Amino acid sequence: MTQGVLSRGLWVLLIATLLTAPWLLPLIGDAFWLSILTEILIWSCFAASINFLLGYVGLLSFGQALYFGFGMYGVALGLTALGLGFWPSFFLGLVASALMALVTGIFAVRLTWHYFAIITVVFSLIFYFIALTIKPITGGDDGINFSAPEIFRLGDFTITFANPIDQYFFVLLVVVLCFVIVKIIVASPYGRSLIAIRDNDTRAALIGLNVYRLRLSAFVISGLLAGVSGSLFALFGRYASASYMFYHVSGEGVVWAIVGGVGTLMGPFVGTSLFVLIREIISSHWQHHALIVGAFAILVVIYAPKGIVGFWNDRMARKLSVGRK
Amino acid sequence: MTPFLRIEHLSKSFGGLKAVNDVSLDLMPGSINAIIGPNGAGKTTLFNLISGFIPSDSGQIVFEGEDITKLKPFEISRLGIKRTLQIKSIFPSMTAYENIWMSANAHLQNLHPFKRWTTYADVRRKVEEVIEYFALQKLADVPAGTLSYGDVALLEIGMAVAADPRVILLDEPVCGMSPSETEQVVSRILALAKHFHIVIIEHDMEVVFRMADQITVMAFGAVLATGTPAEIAANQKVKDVYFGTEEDLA
Repeated sequence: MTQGVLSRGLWVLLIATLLTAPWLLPLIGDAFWLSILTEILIWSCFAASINFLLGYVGLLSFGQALYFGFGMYGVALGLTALGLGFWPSFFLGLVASALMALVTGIFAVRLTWHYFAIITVVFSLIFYFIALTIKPITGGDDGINFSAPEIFRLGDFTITFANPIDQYFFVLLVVVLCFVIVKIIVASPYGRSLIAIRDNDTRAALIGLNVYRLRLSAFVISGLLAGVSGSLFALFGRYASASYMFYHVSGEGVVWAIVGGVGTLMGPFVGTSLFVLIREIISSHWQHHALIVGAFAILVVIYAPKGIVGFWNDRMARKLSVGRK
Repeated sequence: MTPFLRIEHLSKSFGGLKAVNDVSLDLMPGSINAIIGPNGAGKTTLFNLISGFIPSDSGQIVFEGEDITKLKPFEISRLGIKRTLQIKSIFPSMTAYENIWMSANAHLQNLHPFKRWTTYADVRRKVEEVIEYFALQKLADVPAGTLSYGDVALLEIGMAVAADPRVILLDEPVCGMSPSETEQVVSRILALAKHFHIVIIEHDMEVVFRMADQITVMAFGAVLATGTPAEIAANQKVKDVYFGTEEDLA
């Protein structure tokens, strides 16, 4: 069996599993696994936002929770305070996160490396504390609750977040769309220019690339991805809370992305799946499941620095080149 | 003949050190201009000023009639001023082909976010032309980060050429090269000089006197002398800087 077939087989398996999950999962276990899978999809979009910056632009952000939080609050405030419908609220979440990324990015992308990481943390902390303080609007730590909105209605036919299967497919559609867009962007002249900046920003400027503006645009795209996941998570959990803007959330996303494989398309999904599953399976037996997560992250960073997907890809490439000889 | 690059009273200090001190220089078209001088003479700082890496303290740089003194590196690059660096600088994770592609594509300012990068026939043709010209076919698919030093130097020049430059600034292009590599690079540069303006910083005197039509000697941040290789070779001040004066010996 050639490696290409193996990879294609995995893809088919993944797609088939994702498409049939609502009926497959109840057969093999509890129905609550569908909501776990929904959560995995949402958080992998968050990890993808970190991966987009770190893997393709070379910027490590520890502040993506800020844009996640803005996505959450955009949706929640849209549905509650503003009394908007589902689509305008969803859109509001995306616009809020992208705008926030633009405003903070104007300052943040002037810096790189640890300075960049620090300024992103600082921005997210500032807005975390602001969100805690303005309780009348944000609800502070308690957050804002709302009921599951309808996505679509035609006569008696409705698609609604109240239905776990509808919810799952809506999340799946949006997240897959995000991954496809990232894949397309990365292989475009624009995406190649980002990779050039990651490789060598001095040379990138010398060939005539506007490094600052490219970094800023990538930062906004990344903020938007975090905003998509935040918006989805708000709809999924029916609430928004300032606690999700804390840098702890950003840090988890960074670990998922790195363990899954930075600079690979599926890395964020693999890393997120792994850690959410570890959490779900172990936390019911043992409360210190974070220890296992930590140990696992350390092992991967040491023995597979390109992450699980990077390791896999290297293995496949090596077998392929051996096969040719 | 009007100079393509005119530098007027350009100065740059780092703390108390006057790295470039009131330099005025006219670079004429149709010739290879070389800038030589002992270590610390301010040659690379001059290149850094021209390409916008560092801001000047005072003075003016005019390229083909346009004041470029305050422009940023990418804006200067877009005017067609391309440069190589003393410490070779490429995109290590990309193949040689992709490196040249990046440069050719950046020149067209193509940042399409949704079309595949391999679909641009005009860019591909340009890149293949450059690869053939520099005889890099065998290395086209090799990650640039694993190329030998000499090949990286050629690749860097190839990247400049792929962007249809007006002028190429070469910072020590043969530094650290074997004689055969040097020979290869020198012959390329001589051939390229028919198409573009070339300004070169070089330590290897044999190379400089063989290639350059016009030599500028810098010392202590200032221009000491400008002239043809024969004039420079006969210049007493230049000899003093390079070999020391008789007082130094005494």
